[in-house]
Amino acid sequence: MKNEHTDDTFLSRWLENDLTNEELVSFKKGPEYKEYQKIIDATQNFNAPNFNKKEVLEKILQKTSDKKVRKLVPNWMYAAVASVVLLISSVYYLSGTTETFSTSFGEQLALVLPDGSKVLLNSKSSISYKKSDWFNGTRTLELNGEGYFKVKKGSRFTVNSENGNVGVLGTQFNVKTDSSYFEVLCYEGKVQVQNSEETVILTQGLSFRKIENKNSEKGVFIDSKPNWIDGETSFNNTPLKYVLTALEKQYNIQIKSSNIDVNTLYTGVFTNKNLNLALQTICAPVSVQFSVDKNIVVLSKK
Amino acid sequence: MSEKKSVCEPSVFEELYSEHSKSLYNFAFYKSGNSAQSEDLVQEAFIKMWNNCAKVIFEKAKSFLFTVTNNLFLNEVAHKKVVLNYTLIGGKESTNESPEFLMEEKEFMNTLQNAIAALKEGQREVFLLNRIDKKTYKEIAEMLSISVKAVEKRMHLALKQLREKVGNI
Repeated sequence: MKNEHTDDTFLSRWLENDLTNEELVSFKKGPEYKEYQKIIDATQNFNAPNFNKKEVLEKILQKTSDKKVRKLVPNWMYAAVASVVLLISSVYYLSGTTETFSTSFGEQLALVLPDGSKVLLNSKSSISYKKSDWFNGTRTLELNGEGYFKVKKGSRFTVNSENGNVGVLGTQFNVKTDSSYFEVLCYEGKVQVQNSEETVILTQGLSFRKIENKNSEKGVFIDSKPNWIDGETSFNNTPLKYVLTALEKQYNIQIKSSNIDVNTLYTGVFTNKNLNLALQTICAPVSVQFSVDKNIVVLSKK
Repeated sequence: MSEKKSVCEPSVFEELYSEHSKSLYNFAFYKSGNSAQSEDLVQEAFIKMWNNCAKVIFEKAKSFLFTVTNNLFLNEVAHKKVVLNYTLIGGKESTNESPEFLMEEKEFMNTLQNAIAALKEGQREVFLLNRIDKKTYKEIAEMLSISVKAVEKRMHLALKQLREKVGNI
């Protein structure tokens, strides 16, 4: 049996109930036992001070948001720097590493892909691709959310998403994909859109859209680039629920709606810069009123 | 296709924050005894992880955070005197005791808190991580990058020190 005075882990073993019976009995008989027990009892009820998790996270997000995000109109000078970084890393890390880029609420991110093609990601979206694919000339990436692509002429360029694939040879197009919303607009060149049911070719000014399990729709438009690049989000005969989702992604809010019909079709535009104004433009035409409390918006029929 | 979780992905980063920020805060607090400083250390550690996100493997993120926090603290100590301002919240809810007893209890608690603040940093953090955060010796060893035996020694010494200061109350 070790002497308490030379055993330098006696007390820590006592706390772990790791003493022999003999040691424990002898310890309890001694005068110091009560004193040690009192200290242990007292510390039972100690707590560290409260930590304001949310507040600190906000500070962190604020300090890190300047580094990876370019807001509003993309400055292609930054994209040039990004392309250099991407090219170098695709040479050094060939063994199947995946590159992922994503945006948070209200953010846009301009990227250059390893071949020089450009992507602008809208809020709450992400793309990812295998560096080794691109090094070998296979231009494939996965998209979640919404992205505007300017593809350099070259080998086949494919955007995969949950709801369908878009293949191009050199062109400009916008893909928007949500859980049950898939839309492609071709701004230049020729685009092939493919989903589980059909394959469609789009040329400049043509769009393809499939919402839930309704029939797919083909449309015509005249804009030369998507509105969201310039700070406005527009909709054409789109069920209100998708308009509300886009609003949530842009402004980082949660929308609660009870007695309004979220399948009403909405055509219009909302600004990405002012939540109140945005809510007004959406709610007025469909006779809905709104109230805002911090980041929760409640909608109800007027 | 199974994707590895990337720390650069905002949702993954926030998941790591949600899981480790409080425990990292406690760790910093047990070291420094300073609530505001501890919050700053947590911030800096997560920001550092974000800036190096491409190099941090998800499975090693916790270890990264604790090591960075430890280093940041050491840097701060080297450059200025750390103000120990311990207020460990707590204490029993006693209602039926005599006023004298309550006074004695209060005095004991104060002396104990001061004694904890006066412990060597290495002993203090081990003691509080075990007693308050209920971390095992093994977990503490991993957090501090020392052996389990070293943790046990520090624990033993901490208790011994405390008893010397408050034992006769």
